[in-house]
Amino acid sequence: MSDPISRLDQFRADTPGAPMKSAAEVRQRGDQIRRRRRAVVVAGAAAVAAIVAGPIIFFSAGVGERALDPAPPPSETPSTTTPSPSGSAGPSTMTRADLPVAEDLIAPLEASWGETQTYDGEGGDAYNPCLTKTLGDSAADATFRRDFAIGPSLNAGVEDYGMMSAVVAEFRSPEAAEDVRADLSTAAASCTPLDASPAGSLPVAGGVVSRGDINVVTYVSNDPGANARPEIATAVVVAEDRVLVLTRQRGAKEQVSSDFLQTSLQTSAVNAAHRMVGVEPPAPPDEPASSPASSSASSSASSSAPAAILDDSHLVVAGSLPRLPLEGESSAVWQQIAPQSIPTLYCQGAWLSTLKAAESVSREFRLENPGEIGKVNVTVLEFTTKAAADGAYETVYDWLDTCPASMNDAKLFKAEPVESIEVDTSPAIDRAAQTLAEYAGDCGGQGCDATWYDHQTVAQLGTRLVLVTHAESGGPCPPTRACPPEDPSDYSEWDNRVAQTVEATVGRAVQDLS
Amino acid sequence: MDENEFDAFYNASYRRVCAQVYAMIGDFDEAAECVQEAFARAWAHRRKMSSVDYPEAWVRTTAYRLAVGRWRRKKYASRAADRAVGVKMEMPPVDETHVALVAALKQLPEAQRQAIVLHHIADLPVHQVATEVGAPTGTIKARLARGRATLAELLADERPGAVWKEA
Repeated sequence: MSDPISRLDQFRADTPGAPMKSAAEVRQRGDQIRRRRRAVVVAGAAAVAAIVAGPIIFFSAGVGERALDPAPPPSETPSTTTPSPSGSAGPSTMTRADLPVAEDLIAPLEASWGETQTYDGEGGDAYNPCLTKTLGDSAADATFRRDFAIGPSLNAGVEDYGMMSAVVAEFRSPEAAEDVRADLSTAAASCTPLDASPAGSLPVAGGVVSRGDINVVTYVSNDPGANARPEIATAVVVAEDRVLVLTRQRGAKEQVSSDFLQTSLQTSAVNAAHRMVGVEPPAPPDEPASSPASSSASSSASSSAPAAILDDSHLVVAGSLPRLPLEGESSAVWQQIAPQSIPTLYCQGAWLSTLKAAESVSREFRLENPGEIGKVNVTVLEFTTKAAADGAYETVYDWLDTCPASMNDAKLFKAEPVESIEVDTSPAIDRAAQTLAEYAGDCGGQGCDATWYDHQTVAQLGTRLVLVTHAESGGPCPPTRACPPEDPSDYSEWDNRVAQTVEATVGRAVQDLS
Repeated sequence: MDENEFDAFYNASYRRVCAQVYAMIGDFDEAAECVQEAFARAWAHRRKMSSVDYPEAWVRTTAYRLAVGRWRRKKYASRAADRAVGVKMEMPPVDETHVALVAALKQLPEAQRQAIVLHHIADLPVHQVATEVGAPTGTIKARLARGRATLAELLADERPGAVWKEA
C-alpha cells in the first residue's frame, strides 16, 4: 500500500509552479473591484447632493471683483481624498468609454450639447487656455479628450453658451491624482496665461467624486469683434485615481442666468465623473427615479401608520444598475416600468403581504433588446419590531431554500442552494442570503430552450428587509461572456453585474439607517 | 495592509495557496484563476484584511469558494453557443507533475479532501483546520483518518512511480 503521507509531503515540498501575475497587476484588479463597488453604492445618492452641494457664491457679472470662495463644510465635500494606501501601478484600463457623452452635460433651455471630436490623448491644441501643463506632462498613464459644442436647436452660438471640452486621465494612485487635481485647480483659479480675473468658485461633490471644484475667470479679449468679456469655467474633479477636467468657454452675457450656467456645469461635472469611473450617471431628480413607487404589496402602509418611513428615496434608480454588454460595443440600458402585480422573487411562496410588514415600497426594471433580456425587481419592507423582521427574513430564506415558486407558472429547472453573501453597504447590513434559480423563459408559445437565470437576494438591517431579483435571460447557455463558458473569467462579468445590482439596491434601501 | 505588505504577502503565498487550492479542486487552471481573483479581492478589502488574523487562510477560503461556485455554474454550461459576447482567454498548459495524487484526492468526499489538504499540504494543525472549515476537532480527526486510509488504497492501485514519470 502506498504511503499517502509521504506523497502529500512531497506535493507540499514540490509545489507546482503556477502562472503568476505581478503583484501590481493583482492590485490593479483589486482597485477595479473596489472602485466599482464603491461607485455603485454611492451612485444613487449623487445627483441631488451634488446639485445642492453647498452655498454658491458667484459673481458672474462682477467682472474684476474677487468672489468669495465658500470653502464647503466637511460634510459637503466627502472625504478630501480617500485615505487609502498608495494605489495601483500597471497598465491603464482607461478607454474612450470613460469620457462623458453629450447626454451627461446639462444644456440650457431646449438646447443640447453635441460631440464634435474625440481624441486619444489631449488633442493638438490647448483644451484649456488657463492651464499651461497638460495631464500628460503630469505623468498620467492615459488621457482622452472629447469636445462638445452647443447644438443647433437654439439660436445662439459659442459666445452665448460656449464650447465644452472634457479630458480624463488615469494616474498611478489616488494620491498622485489628488496632487494633480490640486495643481490644476490652482492654475484654473488664477489663469495667469490670460491675465484673467477670478469671477467665482464652487465645489463639486457627491457620488463618486473624491474632491472637486469649479473656478471661473473672465478676461479681456484681444478680438476686436468680441462683444463680451469671455469667460472660462474649469471643473477639476478627482475620483479615485482618475482626474476629470471639464472646461466651458463662453462669452459672458447677461441674458443667460449665471446661476443656471454654473449649476449646470456642477451637475455636468458630477455626471462626467461617474462616467469616468465606469458608472452610469445618476438620474436627475425629475426622471422616473422619482415617479411613484409600485403599490405596496403589503398595503398596510396604511392609514393607521403615523408617518411613512419608506418612500421613493429607498428605491434604486435605473442609472445605478449595471449595463448589460451585448455583442460588439453596445449595451442595453435599464428602464423603470410601471408598477407590476408580480412577485418580487421567482421562488416566492406567497404574496409579500403575508409577511405583515408595516410598510413596503417596490419597483421594477426591464432590459429589452428588443425582447426582454433582463429583469430587476426590488421590494423594501419595514417592520415594527426586530423580531418581526427576523421572522420575515426566515420565511423568505425558506422560500429561497425550497423555491416553492407558487407565484409563478414558469417551469423551474434548477435552484441552487441558498448561501450567505456579503453586501458592501454603508451602514453595514446584518445579514444577507442569495440563491440562483433557473426556469423556463417565455418563447411566445413556441418550443425553445430560453431560460431565465434569477439571482434572488434577501438582506436585513434591523427592522428592514430588502428583497432583490437580478434576472438575465439565457439559453442554452447562462449569460456568461463565452458560450459555453470554459474559463473562470467568463463568469466574472455576470458575477459583477449581480453584485452591483445587489449593492445598489440594498445600499439605497438602508442608507437612512446610519 | 499597505502596498509593500500586500506585495510581500502575495509573492510569499501565491504559489503555496495555488497548490493547496489545486489539490482541493483538481483543476490547476481554475485554481490559479481563483487564487489570483482572491488576492485581488484581498487588496480590494485591504482595510478589512488588516484585522484578519490569518490573511492566507482568508485568501485560500475565498479562492476555494470561488472555485466551487464556478464549478456549480459550469454544470449547465456544456451547450452550444448562444449569447457569447467575447472570446475566452487562453491559459498556460496544466503542470501535471502531481496529477495522480490530485486525481486520487478528487475521489475522496469533499470534506475529507479538504481536511487532508489543509492538514497535510497547507500544514495547518488540526484545531486550525477545524476553525477554517467550521467543524469540531474530533470530526476533523475522523475525516483525516478516513481520508488517509482511502487515499492509501487509491494510490496503491496506481502504477508505482507513475506520478513522477508523467511529469
